Amino acid sequence: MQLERRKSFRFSTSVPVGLHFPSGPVKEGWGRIVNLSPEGLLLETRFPLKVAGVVYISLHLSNGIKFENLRTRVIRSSFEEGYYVAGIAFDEVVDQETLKNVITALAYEAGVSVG
Amino acid sequence: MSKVLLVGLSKKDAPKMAAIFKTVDVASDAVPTMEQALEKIPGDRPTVVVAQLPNQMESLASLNHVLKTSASATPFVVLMPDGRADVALDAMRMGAYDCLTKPYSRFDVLAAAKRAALKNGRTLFAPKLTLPQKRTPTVVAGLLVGFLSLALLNRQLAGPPPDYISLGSANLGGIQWEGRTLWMADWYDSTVTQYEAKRGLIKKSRGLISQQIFKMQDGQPILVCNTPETLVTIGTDLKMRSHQRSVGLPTMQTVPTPGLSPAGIAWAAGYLWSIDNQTGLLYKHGPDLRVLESMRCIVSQPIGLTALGSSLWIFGGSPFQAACLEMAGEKASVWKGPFRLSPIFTEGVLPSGVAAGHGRFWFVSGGDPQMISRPINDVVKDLYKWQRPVAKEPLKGAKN
Repeated sequence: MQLERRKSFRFSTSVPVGLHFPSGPVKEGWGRIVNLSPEGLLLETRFPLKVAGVVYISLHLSNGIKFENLRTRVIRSSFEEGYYVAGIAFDEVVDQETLKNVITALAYEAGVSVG
Repeated sequence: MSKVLLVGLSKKDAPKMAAIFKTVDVASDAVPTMEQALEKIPGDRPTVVVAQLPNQMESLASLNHVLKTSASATPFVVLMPDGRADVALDAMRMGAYDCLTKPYSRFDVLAAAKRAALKNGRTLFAPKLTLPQKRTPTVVAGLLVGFLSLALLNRQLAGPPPDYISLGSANLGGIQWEGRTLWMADWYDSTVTQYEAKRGLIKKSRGLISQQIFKMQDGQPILVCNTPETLVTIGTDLKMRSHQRSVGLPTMQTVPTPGLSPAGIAWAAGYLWSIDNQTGLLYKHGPDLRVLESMRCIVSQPIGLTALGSSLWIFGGSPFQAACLEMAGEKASVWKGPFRLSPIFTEGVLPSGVAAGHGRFWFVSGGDPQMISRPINDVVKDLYKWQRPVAKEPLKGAKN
């Protein structure tokens, strides 16, 4: 894990994430969150992610905490040897409380303490 | 050297997977069960493990545990028979780096294994992976292009012969195209020659090559015409003969020509037609070659007759001209023309034979070995300026 000194903190993690695509031929997929910040997260997956596309993510953490179908939007996306690496942001419909809970839970999963 | 351990793969999938890794010079080892893998890993640590999704999901936890304790830098990738996200997520929560679903493409397998190793600080292989190009459209396009090229090539090879061809004899009578075959009557040698237009990429190379020369035993042919059943000739003895299409062109039937100066014969609209230069009459013949009816030709002193589809084309007159008799049925026929044509041969030399073929009218004369052609379109372009009703002549000397 790695904690960076930025405007807002960002830490590396490796958490499996379920993906649901509201549009397109593929409806379900999976990937991995590779880092996280309050602004959004970096996701890697073999399932195509298009910039500006909406993706619902679901997290089942090892401590039993679950977050289902959090609406996110793809901000940027690149393709690296079979994997889409995409920066995605939580949509405005995700309230601040939920967002805080997600970040705290993921930070806990990664062994990072956030205040 | 990097090595991949294949765990629990079927007898069909294991060699396929090994072959995939071999393409990037990565060796592989296969064990049929998870238990065997758990025993093998501590003593022979692979770079990456590729495991078939086990029946018991807990086996993956055991695999993860063994890898964490004895090969901490070795990730594992799971192969799943279907694409269920919940199963894939369970496997990933038990430590799998990623899950692949059938069909296991080379690109996906190598991409997942390479990335899994890389994320654990190891290099499975160096070459950069590139997405395979979608071959189906390329193959279809290739086949289409190939087919079109062949069709074009064949069309080009089977193109028309040169516009001017020397037939090597200055005693030519009638000519007749039949596809790429040209029939030619030579009254002086008493022969009918069967030529074939050669195939070639350029027009110049598509000259005529003689296939057979038939010596006519009972006459000197001046006119020749092919019908569906027979070959018909008219000789200098003013006899019309039908010949069997076999060796030697044996004569089957002989009748006198209806006129004293036959100038052309042609097959059109299911009948044999002949024309006489002296009388200017066009004759329609029955299957036994006898005249069924006659009509006055609108070209005076006709010197050639040929068929184009169901139309008859008559050439002759002075100045040189052409006319067309279009037949729309048994009773209906319309004359079109005549209209003037520029001289084919040098001044004063009139054609002795006319034939239509390969989009052109072809002319030969009795005093020139050259067979000269004109595009039919050039002749036809003035056709519709003229239309006249048919004037049928009372039968003169016709034998029923």
